Amino acid sequence: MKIITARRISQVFFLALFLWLCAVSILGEGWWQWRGWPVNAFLQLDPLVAIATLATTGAIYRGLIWALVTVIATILLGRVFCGWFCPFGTLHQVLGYIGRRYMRVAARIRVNTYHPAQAIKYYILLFMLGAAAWNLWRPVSPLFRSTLQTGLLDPIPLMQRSVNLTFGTLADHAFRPAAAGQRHYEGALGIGAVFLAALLVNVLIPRFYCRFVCPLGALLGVLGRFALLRIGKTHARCSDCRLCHVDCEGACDPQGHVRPGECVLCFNCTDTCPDDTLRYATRTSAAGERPWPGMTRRSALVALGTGLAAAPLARLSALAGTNFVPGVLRPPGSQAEDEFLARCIKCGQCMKICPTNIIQPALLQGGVEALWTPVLNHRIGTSGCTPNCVACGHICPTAAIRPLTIDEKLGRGEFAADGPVRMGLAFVDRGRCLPWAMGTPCIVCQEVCPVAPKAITTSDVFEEVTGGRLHVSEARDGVIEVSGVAWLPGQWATGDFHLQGAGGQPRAIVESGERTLRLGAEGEAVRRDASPHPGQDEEGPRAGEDVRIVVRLQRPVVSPALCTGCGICEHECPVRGLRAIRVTAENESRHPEHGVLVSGKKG
Amino acid sequence: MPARSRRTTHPAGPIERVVSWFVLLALVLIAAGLWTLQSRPNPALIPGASSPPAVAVAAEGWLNAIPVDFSPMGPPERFNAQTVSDKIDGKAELYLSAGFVSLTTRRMAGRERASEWFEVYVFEMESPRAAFAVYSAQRRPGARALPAPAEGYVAGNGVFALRGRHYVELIAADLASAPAAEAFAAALLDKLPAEKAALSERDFFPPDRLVADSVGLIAESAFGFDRLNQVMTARLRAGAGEVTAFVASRATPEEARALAQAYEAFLLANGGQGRPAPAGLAGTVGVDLYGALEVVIARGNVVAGIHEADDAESGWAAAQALGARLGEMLPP
Amino acid sequence: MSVPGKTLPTANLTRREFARRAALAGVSVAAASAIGALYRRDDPRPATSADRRFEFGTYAAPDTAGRLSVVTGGDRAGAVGRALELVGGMGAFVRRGERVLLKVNAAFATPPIVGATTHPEFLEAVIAHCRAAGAAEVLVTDNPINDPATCFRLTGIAAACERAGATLVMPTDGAFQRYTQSGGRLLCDWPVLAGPLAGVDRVIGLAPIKDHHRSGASLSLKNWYGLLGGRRNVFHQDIHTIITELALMFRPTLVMLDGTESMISNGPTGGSTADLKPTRTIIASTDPVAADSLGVTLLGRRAEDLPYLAQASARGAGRMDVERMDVKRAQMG
Repeated sequence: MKIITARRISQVFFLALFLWLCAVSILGEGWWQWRGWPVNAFLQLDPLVAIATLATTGAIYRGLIWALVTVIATILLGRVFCGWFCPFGTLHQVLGYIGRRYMRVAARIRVNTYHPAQAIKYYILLFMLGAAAWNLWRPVSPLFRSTLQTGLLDPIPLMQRSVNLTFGTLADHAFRPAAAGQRHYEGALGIGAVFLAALLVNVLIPRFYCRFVCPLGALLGVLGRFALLRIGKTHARCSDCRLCHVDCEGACDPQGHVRPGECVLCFNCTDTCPDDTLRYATRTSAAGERPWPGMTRRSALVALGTGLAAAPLARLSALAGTNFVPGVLRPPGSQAEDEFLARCIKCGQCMKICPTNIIQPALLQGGVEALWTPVLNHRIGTSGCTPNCVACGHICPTAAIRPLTIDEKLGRGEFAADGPVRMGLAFVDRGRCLPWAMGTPCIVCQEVCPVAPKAITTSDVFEEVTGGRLHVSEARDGVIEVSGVAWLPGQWATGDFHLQGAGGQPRAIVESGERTLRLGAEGEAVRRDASPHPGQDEEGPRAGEDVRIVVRLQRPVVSPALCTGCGICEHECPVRGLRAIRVTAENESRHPEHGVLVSGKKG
Repeated sequence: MPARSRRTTHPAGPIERVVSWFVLLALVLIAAGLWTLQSRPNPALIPGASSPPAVAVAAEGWLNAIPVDFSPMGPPERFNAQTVSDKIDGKAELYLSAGFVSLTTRRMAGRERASEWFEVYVFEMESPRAAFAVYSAQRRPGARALPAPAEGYVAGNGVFALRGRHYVELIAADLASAPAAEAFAAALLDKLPAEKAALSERDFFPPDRLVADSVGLIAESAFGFDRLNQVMTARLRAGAGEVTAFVASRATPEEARALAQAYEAFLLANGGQGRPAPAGLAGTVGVDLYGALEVVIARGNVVAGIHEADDAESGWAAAQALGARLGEMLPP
Repeated sequence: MSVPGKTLPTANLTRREFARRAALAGVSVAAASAIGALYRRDDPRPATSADRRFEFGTYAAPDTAGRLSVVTGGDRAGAVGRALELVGGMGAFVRRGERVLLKVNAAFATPPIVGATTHPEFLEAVIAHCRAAGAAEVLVTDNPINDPATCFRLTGIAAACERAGATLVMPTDGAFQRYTQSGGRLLCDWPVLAGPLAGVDRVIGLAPIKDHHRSGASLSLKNWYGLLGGRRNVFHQDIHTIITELALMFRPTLVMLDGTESMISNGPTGGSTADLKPTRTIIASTDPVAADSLGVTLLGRRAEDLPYLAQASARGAGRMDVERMDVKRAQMG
């Protein structure tokens, strides 16, 4: 078997594995669900994730240590990751292959020859590492903190996010709606557009992304600087047919001064060379090589410095401090915002695994640096945050969302003293709430509140309805008749409406006709508001008396000491547009300074 | 000119071939490793392992409807299979192995005398048969039966009763509180749905020898043998004393025969000595286990026998009676 | 990739260049591996009280090993006094000014008559002896299965403490710390009831004698189960190992078993007085394995029937061969 056949099998294998791991990222215990699948395997083998979070946090978190395998393989062999493993690279290669089938040989040679702009990816890498570097120093001012932006362009998080949130979701809708649920992701168009653009440009220039953009490729190119084995020529002179450039994936110029940092080890050149001059061997190319990226030290420093400057510039708007955005809610167990932004790689794994689909990619509401980080949206999901679920923190590869236990999330057992993990606090919008603003009975939010004891209680009042002032023309046996009205039969007999005489207690209306009302015995609800004159009204209204129809309203009131901000109330609120009860980031556990109570903790 | 015509390619050299196959082997190993890995679920993801049940059950309603003579000392508490050991740690397995659904408990005090208090336990089991198993396994000797039609008894300060798929215990704080518990039990039992337990094996015990209230059901691993499940036991009068008899139904005669042979082999493997059965007892073997007689009878789809008879004579007498009864009950 | 061999004029240079590159690659691999040491398994979270590690202290009084007494007959308080006298008197274990922790069994919120918990009279008698020996403070604790306050109240233990002058220490959330037993299989990073043990000089275990559906018998060793927190019922899957590891946590000053009424069936909750048998025996010992080996006979079982006793004794937690020990026996009226 030829090495390029093995390389193709390897690429197909890892691309299929990647897609499979995306497909099984569903909460559950079946073999086709998360169960024990290492769904973060690709992210954990990605050294840019490990190195960037090492810079921002000073540690390599759990599975990210697997990146060491890639790092060592790259140091010894070169960019084997790019040519043999990277699923994004495989897609580029396939599309590039299709694109250049329609090119003449001369055009193919031209397009696969090194271009100085390939240095751009090194500038991108330096810029991002610069932005991530501040936490190595941590000066006094909280402005000078890392922001982790590698995930925007790092191919593994990029592809993970794109498959999870866009094309994988579309495939689920089309082929297995039951298994994945009808999921939606806000701003999926933007994520999908970046992904598609990166793929389609291959038709013009093969592996465009790998050559010009990919910060991971840049990192691996530098790491492979001293690779023991490298592509090179056995003789300085050859027939110079340049056929080695026809299918060169990395545009690394094997014919001239080869650039090992650009070579992705596709082995197409050793296969096509008619002179049999190209080798993958310990020696450097007989024609010489250009081992360092094509950029000057000065321009490298500028890129790094720009990154260093960008991070505090982003923080000047104080979005991670006093100017925090109340609408930006983070998943349960998320780190405080500045730490969160130093950890999140925007891979979308939490958004994929969330069983209720409430974890959504942020647009720009949390600031530019928070683009595509997870935020909660209780309208788009299928419920609020499920109390007995901690999946997001367990899938998060970088602990931007900490892996909570159920006990810690609910504040039980050894965490009882800390109280539950709060994601925010629900506020009733009294201008939109049906019982508060519209005189319409509704108790949905109180009923669905999953906290025990319930964080939503009701304040019960009787309020006069519009057109409810009546004059009794006749009254006997608990039935009263009024003149000058034309009601729909049954209109007042829903159980919520009561009749109140002058100074008396409201009594429930049990039947209503076009002009008649029948009153029930004094009900349980009425009796609770202990009447100062019990029995006074037992006879009911008399003919000639002025009465009014009142409606019993149970108005929701949220207890900030109990509410966890799970958002189930917001999700269920019957005011479907701008909800009448909404969760905002006040009281969230990760920012004690956002508390609205003197003591943020329970009793 | 199309590109491909100009291209020549090289055949694979020996090193190249080895490396290529090595790569393929590595891929196969990775696939195998992943398959193994996925079969071990991440424990953090199994929801509800420690969460209390959210759904109310009927038992809560029964314990909320309190007769006027009683006042509750607290709200009803509910436990599921995961949490039942929070309440009866150490004895939970007895219920779980028999088929446990839920436990609801509540403490009650007499309205007149608050010092008289007791706790009510309502165990909901999977079936009336499962309820019977836990009821019979804990039967206290020398107890006073509850007045008919209730099935239950009073032992010391406790009231223990069975109705349908519910097993009920009322534990009184002291002997003086027991009558209050008994009165509450009577009211509670009335509310529980009646449901007939499928206990047809009971008929296999010879009625003339059967000791009243001695029938029990062992759900799992009877007499230390893990394959002997769903075994009905009873005390039979024999000679001057009593012996323990057992009956277990199986789906087919083959299954019953295989179980009988396996049980006999188990007894012999644990130090038993084979003893020939007296003439006229078909499909019967005896085993002397350290001086006690074990008898195993395979008849039709039933495995029956005698367990730990202290003297061989009464053991065989009971076995004869049991065999004869099986002959009557089973189709020839 | 087969090559027609051809030596290049620059062969030496190439070899030197490769050696230099190999060395640098080696250094890079070493550096990467060294950076790998920054690996962290634990998730980044603010430190909590649960993160502090806990170790048990030394509670056995000097030169008291292997003492064992059995008293039959008599009332609870009298038999307790006699049993203590036979092992050398409380003064041999508790010195003036010391702080004593009594670990009772208050597992269930059941009344004393059921016999599922340490009897208040038994507790009261022991508290009195501790105080008479000059204990500066007598603490009583347990982490019950049911709600602690209810358990202590309904079992009569709270009232007994109040009457006899002992302090009841509640198993509050802050009272637990993580404990790892060296060589332990189950007790790894497990929360134990450390709060009441803080600053304590002596620990005495007071347990009833009970049948136990899962382990065979619940005696003085099983009583230490009440020092565990967390979701400890997972240990029921391997009950004998956990009791063995409990036996190895620490040597108590003394354990006392109350077999005045032993629960011989339907344990450990029992429920009816019909489950009890008046065995009228009090056992005191500095060796909990020996005490349990004697105590289990009151249930009509042999020590060999309890695998955890054999395991605990094999691992050095105490002796099972009580027949070869100097057992002080006494019979009261």
